[in-house]
Amino acid sequence: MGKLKNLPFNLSQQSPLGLMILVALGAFPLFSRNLLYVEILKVAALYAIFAMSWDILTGYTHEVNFGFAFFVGGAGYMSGALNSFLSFSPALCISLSALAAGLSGVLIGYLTLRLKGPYFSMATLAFAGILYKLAFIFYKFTGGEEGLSGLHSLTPSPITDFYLIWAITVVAYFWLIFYARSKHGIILKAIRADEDVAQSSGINTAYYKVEAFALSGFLAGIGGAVFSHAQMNVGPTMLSGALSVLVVLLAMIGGMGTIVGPLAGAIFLSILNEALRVVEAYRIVIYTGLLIVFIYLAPEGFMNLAFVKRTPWLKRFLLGKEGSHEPS
Amino acid sequence: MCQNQKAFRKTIYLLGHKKKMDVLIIGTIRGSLYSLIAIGFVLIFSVGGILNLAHGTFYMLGAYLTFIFYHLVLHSGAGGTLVLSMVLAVASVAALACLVYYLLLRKKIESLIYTMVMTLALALFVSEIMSLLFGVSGSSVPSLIEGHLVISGVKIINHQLILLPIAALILPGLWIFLKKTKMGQSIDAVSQHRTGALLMGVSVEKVTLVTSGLSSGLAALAGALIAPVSAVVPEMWLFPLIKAFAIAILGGMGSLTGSIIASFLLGYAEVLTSFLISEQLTEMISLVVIVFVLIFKPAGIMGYKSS
Repeated sequence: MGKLKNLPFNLSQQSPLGLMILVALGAFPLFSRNLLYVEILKVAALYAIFAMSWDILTGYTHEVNFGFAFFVGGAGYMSGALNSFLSFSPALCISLSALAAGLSGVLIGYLTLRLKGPYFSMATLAFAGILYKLAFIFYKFTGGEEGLSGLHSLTPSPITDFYLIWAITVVAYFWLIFYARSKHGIILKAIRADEDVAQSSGINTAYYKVEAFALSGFLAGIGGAVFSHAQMNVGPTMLSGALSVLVVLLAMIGGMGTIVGPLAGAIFLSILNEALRVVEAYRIVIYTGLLIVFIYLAPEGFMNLAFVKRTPWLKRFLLGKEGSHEPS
Repeated sequence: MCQNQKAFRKTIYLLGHKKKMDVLIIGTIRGSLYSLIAIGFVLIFSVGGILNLAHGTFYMLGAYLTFIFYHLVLHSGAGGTLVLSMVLAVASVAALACLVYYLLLRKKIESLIYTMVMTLALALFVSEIMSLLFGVSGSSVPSLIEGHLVISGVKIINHQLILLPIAALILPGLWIFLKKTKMGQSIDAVSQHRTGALLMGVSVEKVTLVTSGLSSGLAALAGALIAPVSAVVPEMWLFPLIKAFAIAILGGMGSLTGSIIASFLLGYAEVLTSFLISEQLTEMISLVVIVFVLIFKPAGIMGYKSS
């Protein structure tokens, strides 16, 4: 019995907020068939995948990955190129590119392992920047400025597309929660608190960091490849620094190191961004301005506010039973 | 090493005499520009521990504010106006940076993630505001000195040559300021050991404030000087930021001498690449430098800390 209680899929221990968001997202097309809204939620769910998979590395080890577009855009481009030049099916393209993203996560993780703090961030940023430049240099394979278009769509209808992405989001969410609450997540937290101490307790910290990097890259790769097929094209914006920054901001405002925080942050902020389209000319200015205000108000993210920590029912509602996060 | 030198001599030989002068002159100009940008970036990192991702934004604001002061505020064609608008631009950027530090960064300065994300969000915000106000197509400012000069077969725009004496004045001036004045010595002390300086009665907060102003002022000066010869566009913040990264890493984070050497190295390397291989690859150099130095020699050429 005692073991059963610790099962990660025990729903009563999950964060009610996270479950509510996922259920609401899945139920939306049942109530409204407005394709515009479904499209918006689709993009929001994809950003949620990115933010959550970013969080498993950065939220749990505090090594900031500023080049997340490397995985997203890299997998997107690979999937697009496989599809349009070799005409592989989307399912094959997506799995191959996700694997490639995971493997490159291992490689980059291995190379940048020694680096800490700003050095790690700059290295990841440079890797993403190099890939961005290469996309322009090898324009024969990537389509240069315009990118590759005319990719095969995921499924025949937008609604099934949406449900496929929703299912991936749900799987990614539970996978990451499971991972974070397992031994691996706890070790990552120990590394965050003090890597030297973790090492001297006989933990191979390098292994766990690379593993988290690979998982983060793999999930982002799935997201990126699905993104390119859902939009039926892939362009340089998917590799750009703007995407990396957006993922960092979404996850940080939600609350790093909680998984549910980045999920909520990505969904709500993506919807907010679309809602601001009523003032289209000023939208981006207002949006980035609001992001600054949010970070100023809640530097650790809304899930990690001291106020939330002090209120037991709110903490239980937002973070679930075991998902508490102590910022170091 | 010897083989490298041979290969290097061979490439220089292949370049021919005219190209050699090209590389030398254009590389030196680029190097002076980069050193003005990078030195502030390194300074604020070593003093405040702030990895200032808005550094390129201060450079951009230097160019934009010169444009704004020249065309929209002063709008007279008199000779001194452009110099006056540049001075005003640099001063207001420095004031703005102090404000940013005081209001937004001071509270959480020890959190690296917070300062990085905050400065990056600021960079995006300012860039969006500028594209809203002036559009993405670019604005232009007249040169300080019109015309061009031909130095042993190389055509150089006169305005670019101004960068050389200014860098030659500013860099030793900064060194004298850091070593000889009381404020400079405090800056130096804080960058060497924050707690130690605090115990010696240095007001760390004041020093960081002054350094923010100084470092952004230098970036703004570079931006104001480059405004007449480059397009003033909202995306212009990104490229100096990446160059500053590369230079700071190559020179060793926290080493001012190293960053000056690295600036000129990067300048020459870029010009050489654009002549020998292709213009497209010049932007890649700084990124490749970041990756390779970090992986193989994280301390850089003059750095002493490797963590």
